[in-house]
Amino acid sequence: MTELRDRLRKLPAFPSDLPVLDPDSVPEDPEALFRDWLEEAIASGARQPHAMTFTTVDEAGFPVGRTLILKDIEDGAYQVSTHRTSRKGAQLEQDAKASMIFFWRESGRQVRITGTVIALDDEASQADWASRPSFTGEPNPDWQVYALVPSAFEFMQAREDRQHTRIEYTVQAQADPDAAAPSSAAARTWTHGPVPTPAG
Amino acid sequence: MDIAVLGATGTIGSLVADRLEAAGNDVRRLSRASGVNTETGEGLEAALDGADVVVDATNIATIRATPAVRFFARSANNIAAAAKKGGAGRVVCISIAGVTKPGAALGFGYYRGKCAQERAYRAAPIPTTIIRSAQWFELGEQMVAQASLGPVAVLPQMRMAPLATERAADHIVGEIIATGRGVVPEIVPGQNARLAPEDGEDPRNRIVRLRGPEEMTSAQLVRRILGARGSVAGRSPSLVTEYPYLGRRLAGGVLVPSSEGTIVDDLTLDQWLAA
Repeated sequence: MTELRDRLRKLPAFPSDLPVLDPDSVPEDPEALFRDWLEEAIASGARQPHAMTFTTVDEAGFPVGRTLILKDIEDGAYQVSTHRTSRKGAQLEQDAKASMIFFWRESGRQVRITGTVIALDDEASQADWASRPSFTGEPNPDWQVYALVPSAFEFMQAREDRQHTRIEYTVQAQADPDAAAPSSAAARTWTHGPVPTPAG
Repeated sequence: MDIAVLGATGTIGSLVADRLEAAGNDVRRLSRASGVNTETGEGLEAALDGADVVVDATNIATIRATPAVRFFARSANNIAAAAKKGGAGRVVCISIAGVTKPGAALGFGYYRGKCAQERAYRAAPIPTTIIRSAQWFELGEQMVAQASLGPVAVLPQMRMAPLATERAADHIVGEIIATGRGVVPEIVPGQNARLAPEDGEDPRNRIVRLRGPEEMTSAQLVRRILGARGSVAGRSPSLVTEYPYLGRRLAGGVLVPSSEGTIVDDLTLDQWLAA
């Protein structure tokens, strides 16, 4: 046992006054729950409540994460922006799979969103570029807004006893040829339930 | 008639060339493979010399604006000039319905190329017929091939009125044969509107619009093809969804031709799938 391990073990875990996640009363739409949690994080005054770990896959198949800011949620997809020629831009070009992990430590909440990333059109990208504090009036053709279209969510509410509550949402498979079936990312239907595997 | 078809090895070009030939015309099947490069003009004048009608069914495989605009604008200028020099009566350009509407091309570079092509023909020294077709059913296959990632396909959300490519070719050939070297058929007010003459356009120019019988979105098109065939382009994604990443206007229906006089083909997607 190293000295570091000893010190790490003694660090305080989660407190007792955490919110409770009731698996029986979560909304059908994971975006509603995400928005609730994000709004509560913003209202709490926590620093950078919109920051998250954005993970892509590199050319060798290794996951690569970095902290990014969520720019917007629109039509059921979660937006980030970057230079198209950045490493993450190049990785997304090769493999559009990605995840976002939001962790609000004060409330013991984590959300993981997994899905497929698409590049939005130039109009959306340039509008985002023009809204940046550093904008000088010149468009930047290299600027790109990406949107993660989720196929799964996992919400975790930590508990003092470490029996953390986890709810996962999975989008319903829709190869259904029924023309009336919802097709846009915003209108899809989700199933949810407790995560069956041990939390660790 | 002696008809030169540029892009004759492509999807629509080959169907149009076949039909024109079957109707008893002399068809020059022209393509890069036959030594004609419309973008540089190489081989173009000799290939078009003496043709009655020149059909522009050229295409470039890109989604980016810069190469698309360069290709379509240069090609249209070169084709129009060579057609005029060779004594053709007119050029028939195969275009896409809706792409020139305000904002339609903002999110999709390829459409900017098609806009540049139409602009070039508007300023061309020879009468032009622009045939604006709605999307073809086969677009579903291209979309799945491009947008699938494992079991997930996130398609660009587009509202459209698609039709069978073969039917589009039938209508295009009908127009070419009916108008011939350039006698514009009788114009019914509001129908197949001419390019506006008050803007200084040549009144012999003409726009023809084609669409299919039903409106649907990209994901609905792909799901119905998947439902009938089990797979599309060798893939069978279990999750087909769509997102307006080529711009909201395409998702909102700007690609659906709504003008009076638009030719509405009657072959439904289900009939096409059953055939």
